[in-house]
Amino acid sequence: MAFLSVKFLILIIAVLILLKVSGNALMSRLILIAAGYAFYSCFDLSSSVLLIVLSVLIWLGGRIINSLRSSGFAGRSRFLCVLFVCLEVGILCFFKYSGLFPMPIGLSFYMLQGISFIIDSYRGDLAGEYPSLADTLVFIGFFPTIVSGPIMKAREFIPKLRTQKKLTADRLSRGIQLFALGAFMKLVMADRLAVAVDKVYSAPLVYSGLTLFFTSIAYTLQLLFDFAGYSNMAIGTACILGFDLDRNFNLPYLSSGPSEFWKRWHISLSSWLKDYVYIPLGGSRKGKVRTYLNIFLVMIISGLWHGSTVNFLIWGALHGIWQVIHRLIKESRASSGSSGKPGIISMLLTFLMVNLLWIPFRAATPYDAWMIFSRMITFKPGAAYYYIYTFIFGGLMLIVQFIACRRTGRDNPFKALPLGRMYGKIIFCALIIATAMFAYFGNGAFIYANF
Amino acid sequence: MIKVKSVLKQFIQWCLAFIIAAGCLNIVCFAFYAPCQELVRTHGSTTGYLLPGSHGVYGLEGYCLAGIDPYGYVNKNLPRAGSYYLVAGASHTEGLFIPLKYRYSDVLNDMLGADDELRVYNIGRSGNYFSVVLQHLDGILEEFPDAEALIIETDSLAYDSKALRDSMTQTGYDKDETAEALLGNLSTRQRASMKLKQFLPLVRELHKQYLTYREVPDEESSTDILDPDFWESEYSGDFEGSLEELMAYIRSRTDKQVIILYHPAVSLEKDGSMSILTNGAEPYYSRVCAKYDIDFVDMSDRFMEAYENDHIIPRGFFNTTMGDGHINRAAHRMIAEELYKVIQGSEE
Repeated sequence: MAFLSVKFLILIIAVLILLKVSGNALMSRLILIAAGYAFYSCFDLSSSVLLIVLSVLIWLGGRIINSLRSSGFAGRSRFLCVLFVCLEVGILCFFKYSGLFPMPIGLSFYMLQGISFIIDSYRGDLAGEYPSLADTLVFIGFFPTIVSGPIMKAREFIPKLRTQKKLTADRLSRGIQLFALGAFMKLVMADRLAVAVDKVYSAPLVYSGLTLFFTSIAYTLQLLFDFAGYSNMAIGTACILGFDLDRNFNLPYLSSGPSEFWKRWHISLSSWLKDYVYIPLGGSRKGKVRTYLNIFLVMIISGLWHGSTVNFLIWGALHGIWQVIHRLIKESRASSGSSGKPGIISMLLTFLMVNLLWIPFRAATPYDAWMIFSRMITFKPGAAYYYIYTFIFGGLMLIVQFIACRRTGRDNPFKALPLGRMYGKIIFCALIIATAMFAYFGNGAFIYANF
Repeated sequence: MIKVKSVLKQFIQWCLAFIIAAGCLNIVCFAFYAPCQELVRTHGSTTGYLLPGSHGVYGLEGYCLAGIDPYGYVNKNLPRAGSYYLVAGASHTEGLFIPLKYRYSDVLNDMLGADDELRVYNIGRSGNYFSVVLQHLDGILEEFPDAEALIIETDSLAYDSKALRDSMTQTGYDKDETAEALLGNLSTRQRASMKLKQFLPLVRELHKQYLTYREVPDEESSTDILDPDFWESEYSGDFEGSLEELMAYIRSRTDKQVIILYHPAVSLEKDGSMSILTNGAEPYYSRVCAKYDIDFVDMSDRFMEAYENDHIIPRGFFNTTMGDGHINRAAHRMIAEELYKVIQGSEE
């Protein structure tokens, strides 16, 4: 079931009505579970069975770990925690890399949530009122986020589940606006850019070096609008259902370095990797060399999480190397007393670097990535193709970023429109009509749903 | 009571907001997509006219501001020369993807040195493919008796024996079916609907979007029209005989110069080359056309040469994709140059 479908609209309305009439918290959980599985089983019924089995297993594992920990059996609790994390990683790797079975949709996302549940149980972060099976089923199978995130942490989401907010006019207004903005970003911006990107990447040898560079920018924009668009729709839906999820993107192409980029891009994944990989590895507490190694390892894991091909490994490794080099430079500058204030040059260089690193992320093979890169830097002649919508959407992004720089300290300047006021209503209607008018119909799949 | 009033107020405000937003985007449409109105006809040189004297904006593929002449065709508002070349074909010929002065018919007109009159008259109409044009051959010859030569454009030769024979079935000609007459016969309701469409391009754009949304295929369909097995069986069968019949038929209807202009679709390959998408019928057309003194202009070699030497792709635009869709400005120029050579050759 796609977000942008009549079925999804009916599902949301039905859930809202049922939540309104439901008498207690358990009923609310059951409604959310039923909705989650109804949504998920539209993609693949057999994957729903896997989702239930894994959710129950995670809940059982977490419960045992929690009771062992609270009974003072720290060693056993630790052993079980490692065992369950290995089991979850093993299942994820099996589906992702073996190629024996099709990858269940959203597995990469909900398995990370499962790992978070196990580790949070081990750490005692879920100790107060331990989550019930119903809580766990909602958490793992929360339908707005199950396909492509944002990735939620058990210790953050489960308390929200217990304080689920009632639907108010303000909440509905915020949720619908986020959803509409996300739909515009996906259908109008990302899908239109995808047309050119797919064409050029399918036969890169046809095009000139300059065209390839230009198309790499188109992909950089496409990826942002696609994933940020999805995230907005997911966060908007969750908001309507009574849950406030943290934002997943915050103008990532305004970053002035790789570490800042990862604080602004796919924030939920970066935060998950920091909490459950980087810090357990020792973070920055075990000396400089170990810190660099940890950063590099985290980026490699991030690359492997994104996909099973060598390209993603290369992409992760290059990001890791870049982060380490950038940190080294920053540290040497700090010791010599130079100011680290972000300037336009560092933002531009970061954007260019991120842009270049998306090439192996998108190219079909490492050879393709290398060939595109070499054609770009040697300005190889070829067919010229400068897609108009790259200028238009790139220009729009620049305007938003300029406003953010001037007014909000490089923070996302978007605020919910006051739908009670006439101008708010007009802008909102214009956004809806513009989406219908300029939407590109043809490639509805979200890029991150493939990972 | 107060609550009902408040709900009613909100409802009215939302309706107003929607109307204002739609109005603003309707204005945007006038710069993006505001096509000309069509008048359908059954017995003539084409399947229809565009509203005479109207203007249209086409920005979905390439960009074109088009003006329609008083006869309902897409031409500069200039008088036709005493003797002229008539160009018939589908959307490629109609050319609503590039500024009109860059269409092959207009470039050819310039090459022929006609500044204040039309030596090349374009009756291209979307959907009037090769077989459709041939079914309107009588209409063309009767509607344009002064034409010195007839150029029939096609982007495909994938017509099997049956389709070639069917092309000889004429739709006939009704001299009273002019654009002016069709317009005069419209009912008040039809006129109102036409005016409304003209002033509300947003509605047409949204309707078109809806149709596209409904027609999104789950999987890309394979083009069996280029299936080599099918065409092999055609060529070993009655194909050449049917083609001969068709060319003989054309020749029997007119002794004017007839040029069949063929500009094939192309495919951009992973190895960096460009290939021509063809069913391999070119040699048959070339041979049979020569036999009946019909010029067959095949753009395949010229397109390949332009790609290999100058990386020019004949199809596609910067707001769509290269290699797909309609022929672009570069291809129109190449076609005009090739047609000019043929015309010069026949004049000599």
